[in-house]
Amino acid sequence: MSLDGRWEGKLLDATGPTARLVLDLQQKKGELTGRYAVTFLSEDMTGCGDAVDQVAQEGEVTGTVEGDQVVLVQDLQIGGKPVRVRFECRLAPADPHALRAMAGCFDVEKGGGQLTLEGGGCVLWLYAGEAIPRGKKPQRPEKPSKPSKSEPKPKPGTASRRAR
Amino acid sequence: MASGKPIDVTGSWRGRLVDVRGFEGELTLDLRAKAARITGDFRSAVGAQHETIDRQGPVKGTLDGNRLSLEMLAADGVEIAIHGTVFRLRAGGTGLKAVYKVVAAEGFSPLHGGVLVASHGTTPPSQEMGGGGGDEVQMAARPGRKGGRS
Repeated sequence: MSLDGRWEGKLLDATGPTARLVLDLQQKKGELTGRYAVTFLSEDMTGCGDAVDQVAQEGEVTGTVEGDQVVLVQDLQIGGKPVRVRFECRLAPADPHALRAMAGCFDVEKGGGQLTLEGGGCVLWLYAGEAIPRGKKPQRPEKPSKPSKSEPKPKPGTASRRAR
Repeated sequence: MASGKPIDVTGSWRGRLVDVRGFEGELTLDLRAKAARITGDFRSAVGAQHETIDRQGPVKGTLDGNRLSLEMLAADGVEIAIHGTVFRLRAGGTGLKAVYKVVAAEGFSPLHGGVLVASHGTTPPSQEMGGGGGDEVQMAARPGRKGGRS
């Protein structure tokens, strides 16, 4: 079964922070590419009490899959210094919660001082609605529909006059 | 920057777990290390959003360098194997990142396998400069919020 699709899950760091992770993955034989976004969950942060969860980081990942073993690597630059995070995990059935899961540990291999995270575990799930059948391309977000030419555009101020 | 001194895992560890079946929980490990042999006890509380399932029991395992392997046997017959890595945290203390798997279950277990993290010997937030909080002991741990079934 292809790993193509949107994987969503939770990341736990040994130092305390918890994050939501979204990973859009594409598989070509044993090679993986994708994009990720990490959102720290505010209840685990000791900063602003009413802060809205914001995407803290996003970028690209590359990796490999062999059997049920998956390795994903994220190379990025923070403050001009290279940082590498490596995630080694294993695929597992996740029913009834989801179609599949990948669970494993991540390590900050390089540039550790640049990241809040120091190492921990992560579980990602592929839900039934997010899996992409092999051979099909990911759907692009729908563009907003243009107004029909047969409908006259309201002139500014005319709507309020008609309502009276 | 890793020190050559072996990591001592003796003490109380507090952490969290996430299961591939979607359950989350909290875990406490009280470990005693004698050379490479580890013994101790565990307590876990799983499923805070629903009725919490509490478990406790003995722990035994081995520490090979920074590779920690543990077996937890709950009183209701659920056996969980943990394989992970211990490492020093920048702010002090020791962290654990591991995968776990339910290897035997005589009764019902909502868990199948997943990941867990824990920490030991970290500085309480109340002792940090400008830190708030009162009774929170470790950032990586949250004491059980609900009184689950024993």
